[in-house]
Amino acid sequence: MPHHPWLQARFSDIRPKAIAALISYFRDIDLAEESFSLACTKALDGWQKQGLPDDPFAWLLTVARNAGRDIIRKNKTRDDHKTQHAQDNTSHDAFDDVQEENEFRDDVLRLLFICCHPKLSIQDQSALALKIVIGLSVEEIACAFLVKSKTMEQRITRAKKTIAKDNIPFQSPDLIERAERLKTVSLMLYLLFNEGWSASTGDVQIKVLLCEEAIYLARLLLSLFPSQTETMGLLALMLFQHARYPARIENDKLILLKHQNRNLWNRTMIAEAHVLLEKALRHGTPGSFQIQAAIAGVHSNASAYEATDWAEIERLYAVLYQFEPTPIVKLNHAVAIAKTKGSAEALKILDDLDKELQNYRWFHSTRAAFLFELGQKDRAKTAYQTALALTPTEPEQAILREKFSNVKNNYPLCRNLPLSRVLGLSALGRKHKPKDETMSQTTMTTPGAAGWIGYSSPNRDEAVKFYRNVMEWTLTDLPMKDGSSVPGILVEDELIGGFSPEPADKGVWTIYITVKDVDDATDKARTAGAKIIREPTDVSGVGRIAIINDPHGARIAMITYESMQK
Amino acid sequence: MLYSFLIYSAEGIHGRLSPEEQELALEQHRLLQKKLDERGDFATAKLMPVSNAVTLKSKTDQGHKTLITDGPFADTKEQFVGFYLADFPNLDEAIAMADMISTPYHSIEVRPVSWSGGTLSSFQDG
Repeated sequence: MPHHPWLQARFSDIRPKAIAALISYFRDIDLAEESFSLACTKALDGWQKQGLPDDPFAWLLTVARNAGRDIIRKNKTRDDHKTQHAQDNTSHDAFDDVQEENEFRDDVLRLLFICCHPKLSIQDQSALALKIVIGLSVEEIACAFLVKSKTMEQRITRAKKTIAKDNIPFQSPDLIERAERLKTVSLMLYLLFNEGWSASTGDVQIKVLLCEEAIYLARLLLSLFPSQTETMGLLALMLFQHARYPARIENDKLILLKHQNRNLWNRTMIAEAHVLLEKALRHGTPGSFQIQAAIAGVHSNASAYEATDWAEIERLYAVLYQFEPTPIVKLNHAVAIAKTKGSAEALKILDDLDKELQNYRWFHSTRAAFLFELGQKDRAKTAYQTALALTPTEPEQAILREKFSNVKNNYPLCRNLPLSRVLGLSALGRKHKPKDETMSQTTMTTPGAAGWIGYSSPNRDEAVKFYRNVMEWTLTDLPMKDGSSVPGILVEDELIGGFSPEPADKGVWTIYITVKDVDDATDKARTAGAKIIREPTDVSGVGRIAIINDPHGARIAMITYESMQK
Repeated sequence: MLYSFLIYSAEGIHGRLSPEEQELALEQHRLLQKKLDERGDFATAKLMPVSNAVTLKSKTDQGHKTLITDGPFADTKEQFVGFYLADFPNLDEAIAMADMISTPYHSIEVRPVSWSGGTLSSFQDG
């Protein structure tokens, strides 16, 4: 059968969403992969003869679902539970009623999130994503990770077993859950990109595949959640870096940023990264990826290494340290300080980091460079030797992992909580830090609590910037089911409110009081003389909300959170 | 008559082709551009992915406030990915030229231009 490259390309492009949808349909990764590949085989034949169907995605999905059901029927030896489940699922589902492509955003996110199982190494997490989500062959993945096919095969099989035991709920996640998943997945993609980027001399061309696929997946994520500023930041960061790829090797030698021929940088990629970053910054919800992208952007703007705006980079690292108070960020900050204030100043900062970074190659090589510049040649030599003695691979990964272990709301936070507890927290429910669990505390879902403040105004983005400057708030994007996002207000780790995307005639804050039954409470308020501004209405993924003006004209909202509704 | 070639495609497909296949597609464009250049003035643009865009919507119900959202939200199967603009003596010739860049993963709309203005400076990958 002739393999039409553009048909294959179309299958690859459809695959992530289709596989995600099939997994949520069959709850079985192998079956999903198998039925998708059967559907592609059918399409390869049919589409060449009859042309493309109107909706290739829906076509493939329908055919794959049928193929999967056939497999289940024929293969009685399959796990009974799974069979039963798939049958249950199909019996009440209108089979040809395939949802719109964009309905699958939570499915794709869930699938990527499942790949990020905390028991898997970063490498295995990414290998799994490349295999299942992108559909790369084991050989391709093995080659990119510089291991034997056989080894990779075993690792993927083992990893699949690990995630099969996992029990990620299949219903739509709430706002906070979705935000956490996005964060975890973004981190995995960033580390995948880094795996490709931190190749040693001989492997640059081989490992570039990992960078490209990380970028592909970041694009996919952004197309599903187009308002997520940190996803924009992540993609911008990758593009700024990847744009330098053509200048990274010369005569088989790795060229450092300092010595790269900047004319070789990919200007289209840099332009795109700038656009994404600019778009993200408009929202006024800065985060680690956006700031890192901004730093990469400063480098991209410089016509030569000597022309780099180190003062700006130094400022940005100082800001980054507030978001990510880790020794690595401090080390990078010190490098920038060396450029602006001199090596002596920078060396002082390094002295404080000695304990934390003693296994980090770059720490010692940076220190050596500073010492050398200050004329302390013997000490510089010792530092260089320490750097060289450290192997470049695993410790660096460990540090990279550790770099993010302090990031708030990271994966383990929700994993360590029993499922019931996660679901028990309402969509907008405050997330407790585990240490708070012993303390008695009013939660958002306690009737009577003033659990949430909401803001509307004619210009949300400007308002967000105003309040970020004035209040001690961290603003973070809360991803909604439809792919949009709402800037949420974090105080330490607690979510206390958010900014509505709906423009209002003038700025107004509304306090949301938790009530047992919002319909009941609204009736009572009406009887007592309140004016009902908004009758009780359901907000998907949040709860049921009513807004009233009390008899004296004061506005207040009442809410029964989704998790309280039984 | 001034005609535009409006090119639509599922955005991800081009990137999923092998570098050789991508090069073949680009070569078609280079040939067309060479042809158009020999004939006179033309304009062309390749657009960035829709994720890089913002969409403005005027809210008529709320004092004409403009709502700015990220990207076109509706995930349409095909996106507007680029265009050409040039003068052709007749539709047949415009179609013949547009056919130079047709591929199985694009659709090209040949649409007459009712008005055009401004000037374009070129931006190219350096």
